Amino acid sequence: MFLFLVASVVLGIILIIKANNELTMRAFSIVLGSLILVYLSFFVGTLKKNPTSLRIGLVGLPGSGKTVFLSVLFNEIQVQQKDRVEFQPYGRETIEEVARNLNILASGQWLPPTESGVVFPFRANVRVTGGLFPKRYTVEIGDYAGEHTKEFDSSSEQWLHRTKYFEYIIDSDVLFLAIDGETLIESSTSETERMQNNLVAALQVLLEKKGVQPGRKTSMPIAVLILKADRLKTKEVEDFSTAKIDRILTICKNRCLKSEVFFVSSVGSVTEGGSPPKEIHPVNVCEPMIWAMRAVAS
Amino acid sequence: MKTLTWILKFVLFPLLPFFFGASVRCLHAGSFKFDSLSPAELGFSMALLTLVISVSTSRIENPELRDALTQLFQLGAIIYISLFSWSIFLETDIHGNQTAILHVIQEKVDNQKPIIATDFSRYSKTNELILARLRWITVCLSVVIIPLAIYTNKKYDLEKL
Repeated sequence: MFLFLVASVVLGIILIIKANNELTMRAFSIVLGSLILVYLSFFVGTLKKNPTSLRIGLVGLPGSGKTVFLSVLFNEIQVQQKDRVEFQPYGRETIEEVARNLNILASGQWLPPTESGVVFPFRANVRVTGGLFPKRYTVEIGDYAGEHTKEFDSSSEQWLHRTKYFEYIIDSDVLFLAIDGETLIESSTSETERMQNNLVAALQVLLEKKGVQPGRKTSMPIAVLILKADRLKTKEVEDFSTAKIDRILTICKNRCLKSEVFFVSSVGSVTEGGSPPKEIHPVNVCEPMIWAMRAVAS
Repeated sequence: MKTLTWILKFVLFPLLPFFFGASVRCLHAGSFKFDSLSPAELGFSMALLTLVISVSTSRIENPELRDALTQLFQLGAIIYISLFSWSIFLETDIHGNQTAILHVIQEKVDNQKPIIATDFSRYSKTNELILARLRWITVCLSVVIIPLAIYTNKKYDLEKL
């Protein structure tokens, strides 16, 4: 390309110097025109080759099941090919991490808590079809230790500090709010309220940082994931649980153009001893991602 | 809103010299003519635009994409600077020759001498033709590059960087 450009420029200059009739002028125009066409074809080629990067922020309290959800999601979504959304994990680190986590779950053990201060990005290439042209994305979901949510807790010393994690969430294009379904039914009201307050604060800070004016809605899709949903056996329990987080759901509904609640069970029902089953049967794990991708692509 | 701000800052602002120049000439002529667009001003403005965007693209995290886009925008800047240089040279040459011809005619009129064909020997039609071609090429290239730059911003969120 570079040689062609140099040759065209040299030829163009020679033609300008020698230009004395209409034929030479035409040749000059053709040379310059073809040079520009080559440049534009490279430009369009680069835009076509490189997918749009999409960042998904996953926020949730420690032990809410974020890492299990991500590991199962990255395995399931490529196994169950969904309409209009094609998914392929990429990067050696992601593939190895997913395989390692699935092996731990298959051995009947829960994953160890994510190391505090360590950011692990789960990455995938996603192709969304259905529109006039297919859209390609490079999706990244950062897995952080839930301990970082104290940045959204006003009693914490780290309140609103501009840490790396905080900036990651602010720069996200989609937000997944992870809520532990088990906490909703088993914990005291004060503990549930504390969790809700932290997540409400997280949302409010996000809206403020994204410059969403009062009365306006953010275009960022927000999915509320109620994880460990296998513990919520019946519809009544599900309704009871969502009633406990009605404030956060109302804020999502009022301040977001696109928000949705998903009841997710990453492993299916757990054994009597509380450990993961040998064979996992995830429920609704892929739906939040499919919904988010369609929301972004639309 | 963010996109609009980005367009104002990265597209319309660098294009101000071109808009001002074209507006003044159109107002002076009393109507819009394609010839009122100066390829030199457009080339300069577009060189600024591509350079400013290449600074934004140089902050993209993905190294492959960052290098490709930055090189393409920088190459665009080189092309526009070349177009600007050629155009400014031709415009200066045409203007200089026209002034020289006018001086000769003025002198002959003052001395009551006849004006003959050789008085116009410095007039170069070729230069005007080349300038016209450069005007078309610069405008056509800009018509494609500006939407591509806006699309690049939308696709890779340059306003965030």
